[in-house]
Amino acid sequence: MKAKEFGKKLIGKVKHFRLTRSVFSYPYIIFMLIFVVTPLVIVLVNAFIYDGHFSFRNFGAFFTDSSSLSVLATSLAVGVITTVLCFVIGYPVAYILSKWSSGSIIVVLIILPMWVNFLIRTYALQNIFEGIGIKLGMGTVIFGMVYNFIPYMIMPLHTTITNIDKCYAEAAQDLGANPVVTFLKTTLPLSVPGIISGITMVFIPTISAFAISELLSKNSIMLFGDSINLKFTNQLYGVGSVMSLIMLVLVLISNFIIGKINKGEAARNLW
Amino acid sequence: MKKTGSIALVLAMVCAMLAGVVLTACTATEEAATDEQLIVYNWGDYIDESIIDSFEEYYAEATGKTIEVVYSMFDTNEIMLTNLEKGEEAIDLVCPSEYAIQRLMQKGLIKKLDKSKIANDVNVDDMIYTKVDEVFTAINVPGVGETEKMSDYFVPYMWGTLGILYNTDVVTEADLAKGYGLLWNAAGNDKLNGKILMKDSIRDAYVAAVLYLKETGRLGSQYTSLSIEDLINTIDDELLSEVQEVLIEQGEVLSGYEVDFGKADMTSGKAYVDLAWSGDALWAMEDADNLDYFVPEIGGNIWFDGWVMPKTAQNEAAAYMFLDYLCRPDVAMSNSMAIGYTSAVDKEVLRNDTDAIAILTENEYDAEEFFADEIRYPEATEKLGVMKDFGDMNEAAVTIWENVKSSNQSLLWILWVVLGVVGAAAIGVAIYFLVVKKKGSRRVVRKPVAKSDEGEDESAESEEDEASENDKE
Repeated sequence: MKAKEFGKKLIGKVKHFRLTRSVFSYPYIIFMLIFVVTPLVIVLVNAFIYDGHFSFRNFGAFFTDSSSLSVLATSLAVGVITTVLCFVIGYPVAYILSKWSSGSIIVVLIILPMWVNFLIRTYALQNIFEGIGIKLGMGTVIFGMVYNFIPYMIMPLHTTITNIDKCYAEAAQDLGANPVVTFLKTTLPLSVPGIISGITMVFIPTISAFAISELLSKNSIMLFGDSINLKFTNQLYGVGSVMSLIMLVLVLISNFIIGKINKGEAARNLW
Repeated sequence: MKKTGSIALVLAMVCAMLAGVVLTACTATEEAATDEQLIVYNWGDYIDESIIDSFEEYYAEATGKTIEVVYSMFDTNEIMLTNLEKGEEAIDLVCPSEYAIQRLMQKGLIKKLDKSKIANDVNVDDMIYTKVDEVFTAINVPGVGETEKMSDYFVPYMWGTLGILYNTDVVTEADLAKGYGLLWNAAGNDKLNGKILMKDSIRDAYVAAVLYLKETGRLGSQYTSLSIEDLINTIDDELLSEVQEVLIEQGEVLSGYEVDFGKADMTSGKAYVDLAWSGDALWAMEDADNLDYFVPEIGGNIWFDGWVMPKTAQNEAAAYMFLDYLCRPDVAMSNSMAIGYTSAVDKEVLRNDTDAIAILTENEYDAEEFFADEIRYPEATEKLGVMKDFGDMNEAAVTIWENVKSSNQSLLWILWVVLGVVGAAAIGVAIYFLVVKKKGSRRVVRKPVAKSDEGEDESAESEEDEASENDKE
């Protein structure tokens, strides 16, 4: 009898607990509906409206416009270059920092500039370039991108590399691997999750960034974000929405690919 | 988490893009501690801020009610139009340029003003009303009439020309002789390369480009007989492609495109030539001695900005009072002093008003010189044309503007860099593996226990597997 009552009470408690938990999520769901889902629906609807009617003309307008397509290609290329540069610079930094005892302090120093608004930092960068007489253009834009996004590459890498169990590397060395092989066979494969989140956090914001390219080229370089901005400020909501959708699709695709790679790696992190 | 995080980030960016344009409205919905609110939407740097406070005091005295002027700003007519056409904002007064007013009228977004409520409207220079009505002869306002006059819909605020601001230390007589060619560095002055600024606004760039085409005789024969005003308002595919061509050509000598930092770059010497509005030019010339401004001989653009009242205006009475207040000679003069632009209040009215003259002398101007300045008070001749709205061709204009701005980013160069980086990485990895393999085989030979060259990896792995199995147990 007592056991039964206790059981009922327990079930009641569990049920009650579940209810509270879902209640807690309501504000978040409402927030998501208003600020995430609604704008997306508006973008979706706008993409199919031309002159107040349902139409695919906006898509036609975008895909037949060679300048829009070349802007898109440029943005993707800038995104790839920035990501590659961030990785090439960021990985050694993260690796070295994880070996040093003072590493975490230096990591704080790397994050420190992020506390200053990125627009202010970009203005500062613009003035420095002008001060030393470097012509603003594609080179400075890419520099600015790398400068602004590199902490997003270093941070996840540093966390992942620091958390790798040293035993793996020691075991590899005990088994006769030289430092290079040790790195290639243990540290590198084990840091793949960090690499992937680093790439995601750099590539995706880069392809949609627009303030950096405006400031560091004095509006003379146009990336996809600038192009969308131009469309919306000139009341071309239809084409602008199509471009936003394309951006969204690109992001989803890159997320999907990254997710696939990530799963494949998670199954067998060690070679 | 990572995944949802990045998706959320992107969604947030998309939202921000949409939300950005609404932001100005948010500031307007602020809860006010005052009795009333007046929501004013104006160009950036376009009013003497102290005027806002003094109006609030003036309003309290006149009506016994307190009012808060909520003041927000825009950079270009196009951004303003975007915000206003959404129609959901409660804005009482906006200050667009004449071609934007034309568009707002055609879309039926603004109210006809009751000029009897603006006693000081008589102070406004008649030339402006005459000129505007001459240019925009009959505007079709939906629901009101097909032959509406613009002068009934706006109260002029500031006016001026579009011309070229240049640095006298660098720009030579030969450069100046080229007129609009100066913006293309047509005289080939080496010092000017990469030091020229263009307006980041298709409407203004279009004017400069067609006039440059006219100057250099590159216009198609059907356009050569057009007056300046007709020319800057002619837009068709052929002219657009010619304009696109010269604007792309111009990319090589440009420092960049600006709407807000031109004044600062010119005074600090970062740029030597700038396509500028006369008021900005006067402001900059006051700040630096080595600057001057001219409207090329061939002609140019004359513009008028004025206040209009959107149909959604909430506080009409206060809006009329504000307009009346702005047309007072002393207020007009302090605005003019603060921003550098030419007030729409008639210069004779200003000259005869003691308060206005007092403000002028306070700012160390000589009244005679001030009113005789041809940059400040240009003669509205036939050579100066008024811009009209592009209408249906707006989309085509935006397309060429995008072509122009994306032309100078050499995609090819980027592709080479990408290929180079990828190639270098591939070669690096290849060399690396070759070296590692060699090292590996050498070591294997030295090791007496090793079974074979390739066996090492596998054995290492199997040992590891065993170890992990042991761990589990």
